[in-house]
Amino acid sequence: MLLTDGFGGFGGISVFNRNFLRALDQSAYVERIYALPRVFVGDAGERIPEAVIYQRKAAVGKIAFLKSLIILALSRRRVDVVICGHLNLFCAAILLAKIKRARLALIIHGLESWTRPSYIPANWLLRAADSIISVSNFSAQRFSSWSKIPVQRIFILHNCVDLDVFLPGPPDLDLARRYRVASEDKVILTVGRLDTTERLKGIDQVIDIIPRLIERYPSLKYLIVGDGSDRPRLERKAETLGLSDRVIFAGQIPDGEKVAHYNLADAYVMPSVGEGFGIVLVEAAACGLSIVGSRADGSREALQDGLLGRLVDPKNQDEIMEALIGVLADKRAHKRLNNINLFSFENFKSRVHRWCEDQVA
Amino acid sequence: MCGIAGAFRFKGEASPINRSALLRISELLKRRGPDGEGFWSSKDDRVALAHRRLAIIDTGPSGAQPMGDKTERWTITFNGEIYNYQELRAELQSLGRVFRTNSDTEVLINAIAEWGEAGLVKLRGMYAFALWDNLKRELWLARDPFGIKPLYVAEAQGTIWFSSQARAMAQCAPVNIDRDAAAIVGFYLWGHVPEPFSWWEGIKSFPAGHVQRLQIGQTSFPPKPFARIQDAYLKRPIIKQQDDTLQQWLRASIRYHLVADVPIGMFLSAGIDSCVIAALAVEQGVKLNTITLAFNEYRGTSYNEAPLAEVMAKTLGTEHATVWINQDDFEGLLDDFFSCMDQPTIDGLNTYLVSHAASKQGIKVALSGLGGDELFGGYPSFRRVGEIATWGRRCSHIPGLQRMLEATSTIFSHSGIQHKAMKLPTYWGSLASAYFLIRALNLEDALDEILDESWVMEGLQKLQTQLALSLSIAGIEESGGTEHAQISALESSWYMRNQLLRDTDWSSMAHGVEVRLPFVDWPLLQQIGPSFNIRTPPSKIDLANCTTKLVEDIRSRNKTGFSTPVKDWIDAGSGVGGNGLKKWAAVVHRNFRTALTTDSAIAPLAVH
Repeated sequence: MLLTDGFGGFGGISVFNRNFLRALDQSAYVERIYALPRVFVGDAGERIPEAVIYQRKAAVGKIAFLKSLIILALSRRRVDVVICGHLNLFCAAILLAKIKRARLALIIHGLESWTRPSYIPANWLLRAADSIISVSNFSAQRFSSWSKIPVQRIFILHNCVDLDVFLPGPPDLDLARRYRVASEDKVILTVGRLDTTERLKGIDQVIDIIPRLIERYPSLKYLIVGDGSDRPRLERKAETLGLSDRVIFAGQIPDGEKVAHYNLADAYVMPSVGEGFGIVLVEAAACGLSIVGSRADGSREALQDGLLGRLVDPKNQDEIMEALIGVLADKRAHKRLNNINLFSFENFKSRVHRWCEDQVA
Repeated sequence: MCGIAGAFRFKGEASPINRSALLRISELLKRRGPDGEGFWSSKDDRVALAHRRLAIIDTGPSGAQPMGDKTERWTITFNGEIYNYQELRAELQSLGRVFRTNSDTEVLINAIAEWGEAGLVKLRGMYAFALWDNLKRELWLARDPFGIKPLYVAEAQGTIWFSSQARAMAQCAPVNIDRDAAAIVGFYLWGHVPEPFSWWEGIKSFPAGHVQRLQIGQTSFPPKPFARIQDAYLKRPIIKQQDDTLQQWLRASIRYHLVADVPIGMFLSAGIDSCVIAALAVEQGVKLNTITLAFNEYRGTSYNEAPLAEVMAKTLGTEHATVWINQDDFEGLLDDFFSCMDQPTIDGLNTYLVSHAASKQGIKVALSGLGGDELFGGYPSFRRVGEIATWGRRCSHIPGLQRMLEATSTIFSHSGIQHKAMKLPTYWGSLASAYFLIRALNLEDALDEILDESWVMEGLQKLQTQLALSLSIAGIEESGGTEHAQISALESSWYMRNQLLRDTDWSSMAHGVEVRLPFVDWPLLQQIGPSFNIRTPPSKIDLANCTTKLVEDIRSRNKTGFSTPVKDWIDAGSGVGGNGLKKWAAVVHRNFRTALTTDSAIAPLAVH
C-alpha cells in the first residue's frame, strides 16, 4: 500500500489509513502488507499491526520513497494487490502494479478527487485501477463526474472511530484550567488543519457569528484545535473583532488528549466545504456532542443525513447561528446516539473484508 | 491427563475471583478432558481450581478432581501422570498415610504433604499441577523437569491465573492480551514461541522443573528450580556402562509408561526409536495397538513409512493399523487444527493427524518415540553444530578472516547462496550460536522482510536468544562436558521443549489422546545422562541393539525425519517467498491472527 501518512500521522486521511491497515491485518485473505508512507513524523505512537511492514525509510523524501518503491518492485516479494492510498500517488502505484503484475486499487478521500488534478492528465490513466474505494458517496459522485467512472463501480467505505476510546465523559479540569474555561462557560469546538490554501473548515464563518452568539450566551468560548499556516491570520481576525479571550487556539494536540478536548465542549461546529467524509464529526458524535455540520460536502454522510447533527448551508451565517443556538439549548448534552454504531471499527472491518473477498474473486 | 485451570487471589485487596471467567476457561479445555469436569473453591473464595478429566488411572468417580486428601488440608488440580505412583503409595502407606482412592492424584498430594518440595524429585512422570495448602494458606504450582505438560500463568489485579492452555486464558481471563513482541519475533526465528514467552504479553509459560509457593500478601515469589536438564548430564561420576545397562533402564522406563487402566496404543513409524519402544513393550507382555500415519503423496517413496512399520508390527504381533491421509482429509481438518492450536507453531500437524486417527480407533493412551533423537544424536545438528564450532575455532586464529567473510556475505547476499551458509561466520563463535544457526527458521537479519522493525527491535531485545541458549548449557560447558552432551541438552531444553513437547500436548489432547514418552523420562536421563557426556556416547546403533526384534531394514534405514506433504498441500502461491516451512509459518500466522479476532468456544470435533 502506498499512502500519504498513517501511523504517526495526523488528520482524517491518516486515521482512515490506520483503520484500513488494521482491518487488512485481520483479514483471512491477507498475508502481509508492505506500507510505504510519504510522511512519517517521530514514532508510530502505537503498535504497528502484525501483518504490516511499515517502511519508514520511504518517508524521508521523494527520492527515498521512489527508492523504496523500486526496491519493492524489483524484489522477489510477491505482491497481489497494490493499494494507492491517495490520488497523488497514483502514477507510482501504476508503475508498481504493472511491474508486479498485481491488481491496482485506488482510495479517494475528499477534495483531491472532486476535480481533475493536474497529475492525472487523462482519464484513461484511471482505467488502470481495478478497484476504487471512496470514503463517501459524495466523493464518489464528484469523482465520477469528471473521471467518467460509473459510481456503481466505486466501493464506498465510510471511515470509523474506536467507540471504546471516543466516549462521553466529564470535562477534564486540568484542560479547563489550561484554556481558562469555567464550568458555566459554553464551549463550541472545531478540530482541523488550519491551511491557508484550503480554508475549508468554515472557521471564518464561526468567528464571524461569535459576537452575535455572545449576546445570547455571554460566557461562550470557541475552541479551535489544530495548527497550520492560516493560524496567524485567524488569530489576528479574532483579535480585530475583540474576541481574543473568546476564541482559543489550542494548536496541534497529542492524540491522547483528543477525547478530553471533545469532552470539554458543549457543541461541535464545522460548516465545511471540503470534507470527503469528516471523521472529526463522527468522533465528536461518539463523545456525545451536539453537532452543527455542513450539508454541502461529505459531512452530510458522516452526520447520517442529519441524524447525528444539524446540517447547515456552510455559506449561510444566519443558518449556522440558528443551528448553534438550537444545539446549545439542547439538554441532551454528552449522550451518545445509537446510530453512531454504524461507524464502529467492526462495521468498517467487515466492509474491508468484503472488499478483500471481491479482490480474490 | 487432563486440563487444569485456576485462580488465586494473593493480594489482600484483590477483588473476588471472576468465577464465570474460570468456568469459561475450563469449558475451553473440554477437549483435553472429555470424561468429566470439576470445580472447587475455598470457603473464603481466595482460591478456585478447575479440572477437565481424561480418565486413565482409577477411571471411576473416586479419581475425579479437584481432589482433596483425607485430612482436608490439601486440594489439587493436576494434569499428567505419575507413573511410579504404586511404589510411592506403598512407601507413603508405610509412613502411616491413609489413602481413599487408587489414583495417582492422591499419591501426588500425599507425596508433597509428606516430603514437601523433596517429594517432587521422587516423582516419575509428566505433570503440571496446582495444590492448595489450606493450613499454610499457600498455593503450589509445579511443572515436570522436561516441561512435557504445559502450564501458563498470568497475574492481573492481585490475582494469579493459570491454565493448561494459554489461548483459553487469553480468551477468558482479565489479563493483558497484547501481542508479545518476543513471541512474534521468536515464532519467526524458531517456528514456535520460545519459553518463557507466550503469544500474549501478560501470559507466561511456567518454567519446567520449577516449583512456586504463593502465599497471601506476598509480593515476590519467583519459581524455584528443582530439576535442570543440563545437570542430568553431570550429576554422577561417569561409570563405564555395562552392556545391558541402557537396555535395562529403557525397559524400566517403558514398564512405568505402561501403567494404565485403559488399553495402550503406540505411534509406530519406520524409525529405530518407536520400533525399539514397541519391541521392548511387547517383550514385557503388553498387548499393543500400533498405528502408523501414511500419506498418499508418499506412496512408493522412501518417505512412506507404512510398509516397514507394517513388517515391524507383524514381527511384534501387534494389532496394527495404517491410516492413509490425503489432501482432502487435510483440508477438512485444517480449520479444526488451527482452532485447537494453542500458540502459533510450524509443527503439530503430524501428531494432530495421528491422534485424530488413534482416537477414531478408540485409543486413549499412546506411546511415542519422541525424545530418542535428542539423546542418541539422531538429528543432523549433532554433527553439524560441532563442525561449525570447530571451523569457527580454527578460523578465529587467522586475523581479519572473520571480518572479511562477514563483509563478503553482505556483498553476495542476493547471489542465491543459502542465507544460512552466508551467515556462518556470524554464528560459529560458540556451540550455542551454531546450534541456533542450524535450528533457526529465519536468522535475525532476515526478520525485516517479515515483520515491522518496531516488533523486531523489541522482540530481539526481550528474547536475548544467544544468552539464553548459552545459559542452558553453561554447567556442562564449564565442567568441560562433551559437544554431544551440550547439543543433547540444547535439543532437549529448546527444540524438544518448545516445539515437540508443546505441540504434541495440544495436538494430541485435542482428540483426548494421552501421548506417553518413555525417552523423555527424568530418572532415565539422570541414569544415562552422564554416559552421553563421553567421547563415544551411545548411538542409534546401541539403541537398536537393545532388542533383537528389530527388522534389519529399519536398523539400516537412513533417518528421514517424520514429514508431511504439507508443502504440496498449502497453496504454492500464498504470496510468501522462502522454502516450504517459511511459507507454512506465514500461513499459520495469518490463520492465528485472524482466528484470535473471532475466537469462540472450541467445539468437540464430530466423530466421523
